[in-house]
Formats: sequence, C-alpha cells, structure tokens
Amino acid sequence: MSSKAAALNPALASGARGLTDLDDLELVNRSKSNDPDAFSELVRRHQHIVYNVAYRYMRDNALAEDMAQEAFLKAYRLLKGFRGDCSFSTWMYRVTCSVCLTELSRRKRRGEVELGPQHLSQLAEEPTYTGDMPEIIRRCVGKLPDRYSKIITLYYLKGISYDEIAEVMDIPMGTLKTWMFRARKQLRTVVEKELPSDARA
Amino acid sequence: MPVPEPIEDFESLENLDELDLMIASALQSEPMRPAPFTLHRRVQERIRIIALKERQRVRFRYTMLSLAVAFSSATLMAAALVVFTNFELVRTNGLPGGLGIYDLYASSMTLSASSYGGAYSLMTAVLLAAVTILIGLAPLRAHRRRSRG
Repeated sequence: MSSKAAALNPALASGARGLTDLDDLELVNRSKSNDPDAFSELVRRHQHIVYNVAYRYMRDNALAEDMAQEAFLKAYRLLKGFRGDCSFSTWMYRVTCSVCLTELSRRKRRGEVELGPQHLSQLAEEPTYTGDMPEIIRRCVGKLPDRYSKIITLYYLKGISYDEIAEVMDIPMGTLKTWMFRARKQLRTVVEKELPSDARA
Repeated sequence: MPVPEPIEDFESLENLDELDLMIASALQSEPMRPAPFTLHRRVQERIRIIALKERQRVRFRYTMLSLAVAFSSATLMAAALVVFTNFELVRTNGLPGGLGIYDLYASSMTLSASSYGGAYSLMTAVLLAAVTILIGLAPLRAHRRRSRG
C-alpha cells in the first residue's frame, strides 16, 4: 500500500497501522485470503532471522539473499498448508533450512564446490594461515550431514530455543540432545581436518 | 534475545578442551547480520509476479474451458442437424431457400466441370465440420503422443 494512498484515505492508513498490531497467525490467515499486504508484513518481521539462517548455510551475502527470497516465496506458495500447529517463525526456519539444504545438495551434485582451505593448500606451495579461523570453523558446519548442520546452525543462531529447534526438526528433545552431541563430535573432527596445522598450534 | 541454556554435561566447560572452546566461541561470536534492504522489496515484487501469473493462468483456463464448451456445443449441434436431416434426400436434391443460392452458384460453376447436382453447401459444411473436428482433436493427440513418449 502506498503512503500517498494511505494519506488520502484514513481507512487505508488505519488498515496499514493495523497490520503491524496483528500477530503472526492473524497475518497468515489474512495472507491465505489473498491479502498481499499481510504477507508483506510477515516478510518484514522475519526477514532478518531468515536471512541469517540462510547466511549461515551459504556463507555468502548474495546467495543468502537469494535463498531468503526463495524461502519466502516457497512459504507463500505453501501457506495454505500451514495449519498453525507451530509458530510461523518455527515454520519459516523449517522452510529456510529446507531451501538452503536443497540448494547446497544441488550444488554438490553439479560439482559447484567452493575452494576450502585444503584446496588452497594444494594450490599454494607453502600453505599460509590467513588468520580468519572463526570463519573457517563456521564453514565447517556446512560439511556436516544435513540434520547435524541444521541443528548446529539453529542452536548458535541467537534467540532460538531448544524446544523450538526440536519443533523445527520434528524430533523429541532426547533425540535432539543425542544429535547435538554427535554433531559436535563430527564438527570437531571436520575442524581438525580443515584447520591448518600451524593454526591449531 | 534469550541466550540458549547449555544442555547436558558435554556443554560444561570441564568437558571441553581448547579446540571445543575455539569452535564454540567461533560459532557463538558470529554476529547477526542485518537483512539487505532490497530483500523485502524483491520478495514483494516476486510475489506480485506470482499472483499475476496465477491470475493469468486462471484466465487462460477459463478461456480454454469456454472455447472447449463452445466447440463441443457446435459439434453436438452439427451432429443433431445431421441426425434430424434426411441426409440422402438433401444430398441428391440440394437445399431450398437461402442456402440454395450457394448451391445455385456452385451448380452453375460446376455444370461445366462436374455432373454432380447435389447439395454443395451441405457437402462443404460436412467437410468443414470434419476439418474442424480434426483441428480440435489435434492438441489431444499431441498430448497423448507426449505422454506416451
């Protein structure tokens, strides 16, 4: 809705203000009845967290933005199937993770593999550690199996509780704890392989 | 934002060595990035396009449906006319009235070329109906061929 139209029509303006007051479920119901402004408000509310989830998978700004767009579009298409069993944000995490993992597996199938530290060390005669160790460690999460990378990504994304992660993954809390334990163990192994020996020292 | 509470013993510091701490620190210290300001606008634009495409698809479906209904009604009408017409009589003697004018021209034209003195208009109509049915069925045959292939 344009601000000019809202200024000319007080009813429109109050409608626009009203959207920000509505909770997610009401906005979803409005979106289901073909109200594009309601879905736009949902996008505005959740864009930061969706973008951050996407970034943690893709590790690239442009790709993360593309994936966030795809996630919202997929959510828009699937919105009629959203029954409200969980919160919209939980459902959005699930959609975003699914979109990113699909894209990553598509890239792996097509052989679009990024150059990691092990490739760089093959290219250079004398491997030198550039110093961005946290970033190398973060990239290692993407090398874990899908379910482990999903829980690690969501766990370290601030603001997402364990209950919510269990809900996103659709698994009981006990299973989540077991998976988390195995995920950390595997991540440690991957990091040990990926980090240059001088960096570890 | 609530900080996730640690779960079980593997999260506690005494169970973690330096590498574990380094990993945890690297993952925890990753800052939340602001979403690009173009994200919201682009999503809106793409949703508008999806809505437009959906509207066009529905419109196309209705157009095709109405054309199919019109074609089927015309075919049924033609079939009914053929059923209720004494086809043999018309074929041999021609049609009186308005359509007869066409027969008159057709007869006068063909007097020199052919010995047939029947209903040219009816024959032409039957021929056109056959061609129309063939054209109408062409997409169906193509679809069957594609689904078989």
